[in-house]
Amino acid sequence: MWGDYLSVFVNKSRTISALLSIGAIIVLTILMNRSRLGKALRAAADNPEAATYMGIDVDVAHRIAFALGVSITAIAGGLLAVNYPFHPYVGLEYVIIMYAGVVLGGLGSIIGPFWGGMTIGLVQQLSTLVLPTQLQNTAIFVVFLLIIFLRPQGFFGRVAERT
Amino acid sequence: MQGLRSLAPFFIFAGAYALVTLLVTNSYYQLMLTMVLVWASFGLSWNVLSGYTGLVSFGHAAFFGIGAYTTALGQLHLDLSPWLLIPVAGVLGGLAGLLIGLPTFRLRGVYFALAMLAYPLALLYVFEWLGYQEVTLPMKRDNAFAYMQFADQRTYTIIALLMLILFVLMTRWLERTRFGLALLAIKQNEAAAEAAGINTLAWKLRAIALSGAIAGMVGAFYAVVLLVVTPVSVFGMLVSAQALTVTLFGGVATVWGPVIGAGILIPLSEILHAELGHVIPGIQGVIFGIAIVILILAAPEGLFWEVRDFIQKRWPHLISKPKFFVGEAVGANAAEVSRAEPATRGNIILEVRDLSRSFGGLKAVDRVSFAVREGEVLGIIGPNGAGKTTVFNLLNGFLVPDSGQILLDGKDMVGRKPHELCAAGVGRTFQIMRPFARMAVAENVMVGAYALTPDHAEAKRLAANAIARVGLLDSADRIAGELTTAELRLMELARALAGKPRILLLDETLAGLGHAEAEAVIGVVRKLAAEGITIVIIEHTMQAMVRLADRFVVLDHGAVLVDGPPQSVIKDPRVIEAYLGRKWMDHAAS
Repeated sequence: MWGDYLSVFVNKSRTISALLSIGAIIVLTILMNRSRLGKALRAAADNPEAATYMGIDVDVAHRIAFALGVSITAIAGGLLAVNYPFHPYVGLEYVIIMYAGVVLGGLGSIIGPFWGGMTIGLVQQLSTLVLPTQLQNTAIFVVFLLIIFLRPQGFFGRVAERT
Repeated sequence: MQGLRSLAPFFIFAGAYALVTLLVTNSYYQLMLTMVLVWASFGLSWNVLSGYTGLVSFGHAAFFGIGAYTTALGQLHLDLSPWLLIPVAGVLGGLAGLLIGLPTFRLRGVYFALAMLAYPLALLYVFEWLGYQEVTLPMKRDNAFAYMQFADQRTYTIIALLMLILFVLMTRWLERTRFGLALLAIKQNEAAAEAAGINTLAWKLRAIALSGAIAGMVGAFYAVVLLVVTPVSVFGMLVSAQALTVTLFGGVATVWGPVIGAGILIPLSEILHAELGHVIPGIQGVIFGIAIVILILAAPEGLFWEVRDFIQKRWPHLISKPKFFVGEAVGANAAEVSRAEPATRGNIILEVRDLSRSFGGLKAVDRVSFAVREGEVLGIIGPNGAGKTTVFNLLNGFLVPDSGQILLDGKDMVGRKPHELCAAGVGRTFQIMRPFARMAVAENVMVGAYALTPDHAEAKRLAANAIARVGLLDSADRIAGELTTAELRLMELARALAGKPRILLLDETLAGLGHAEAEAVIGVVRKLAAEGITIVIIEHTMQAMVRLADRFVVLDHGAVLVDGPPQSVIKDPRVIEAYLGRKWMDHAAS
């Protein structure tokens, strides 16, 4: 791209996948922060009882949230399938890494898991500089545990415990 | 004795199982019989930690895998016998439990569950990296007995059955002692458990050590039976899930749960695999999964509890719980409950000096000082948000002050944990009640009694006494969740009293009560005061306070406004201003 000495190989299908993911994140963020539906979902998550008093059908909100979550996962799966091999049991490996990313970012935060996922990816890749490749995933879990101990609510989470 | 009799159905089951085992010669079915017991034992291990304390662990495979690799590597490298290695695996599993528990118990709820998930998965990769992708136990045909390599498969099942019996007895013992009560109390309300004198961290560590030890032994035995160990087969997600599945299916927090769960699920999945697997590969997993989902929807707490509730509704006489207190010292006498000696009345027992605590920029408690004398009733009053409850939370150790001293009998108690303060004689009740909702009143109060004595009979006597004193003896066998607000207030009072507190902190004990109920509670508190118990009480209802308290401390904006006898305090213009606002001062004065 920038002459002979500095060239970056960009895989076209991966680029499209990345852009689509970013698009999905932006749409989701706007949906959750701006729309009436998003506010209802967040209210239902924050305090189900109070949400009921405000006229939100919490059961329906939970179902919509679940559907939304699953559909985003399906998008991710679809994008992934373009670039990586897959088989019926493929989910589990990603589920675990996803879990770590979400907890790192903060449960209940919209943008948190994005940064959590980025961190996991970075740790995974950078750990190979100092650790054997087999221990890549161990490194993830060690970092995951460290962060959980230091900041259980994640990067963007709030302390939910009330007395 | 009673404990053994209640296990009669289990021993009948074990006998029948042994009989079936001896009759089955097909090695495929025999292996299934062994595996049912292995997974039942593993479920029991999970139950000890997660079922009773409510701290869900997604990572029990960590202990299982450590056990499995202990036997595999111990036999491979050190040529040791499994007879020795299985107990060693138990010890290692227990140690791993302590090691994992110590940092991880700082986390609560979902964070705990997630952190537990990380341990086995991290270990999985470590063992892969160490080059133990597949460890095969060396064959020892010539010395089969010493190396547990029996030609007759039935021997394994019998050993597994003996292990299961051992674990069932351990769990049953746990259920019936202080240990189990402490864990159940933690599950239902950890803060209340701590305030009632339970060293929650210590009990949780014991639970995870025991749980880890059982899981370690089970894992070790599993390796002996299958002879091959791979990281995924012992540290994998599916292993952790197995413990959860059998227990959730069968019933959480009961000895029976994992046994029922494993007894149904393991054969079911195998039979589905054998019968349908060749027709539509994988269909067994689908049917199995659907069956579990349906059951969890229909019986969220597991089969055991659902069946038990059903029987209880249909034939209540079949399940009759014996009365908790039979002939325990019901004739309560005053000297029992109070540790106060008349000779020391009037001495300062609790002194607070310059106590401060802020939350962010808010000074919730600001250089508060006061003293409590033995035998007196001190009322703490003040408008909403004045810092009254925060003072209590500092006094019983829920919060650590930013500065200042709390002297109990002249000894500084700052930084002590709530259970230590409870043991030192600080009992409390809560503004927002914290009952152990699914335990009987008697058990709730027993928790408080154990703060004073580890002895079961003595604790029972103390509890009966405390319950009698608040007048709840008729309700002793009822579940706390069914009580009215007034009864709950009294039960919390009894729970605090059972530990014979030297000083009792009552946080808005009358809140939410009707007039008649409030009068009843006031009556009990006055009776306790008359017996010489030192009481510090927070209350809004001035009418009640004037009748209860010997002295008032008025808090406003976190600081002490006035300290003195009731009659002068209620006439103090500063108090009226704080309560009613400046513009009412003239009205009040006239």
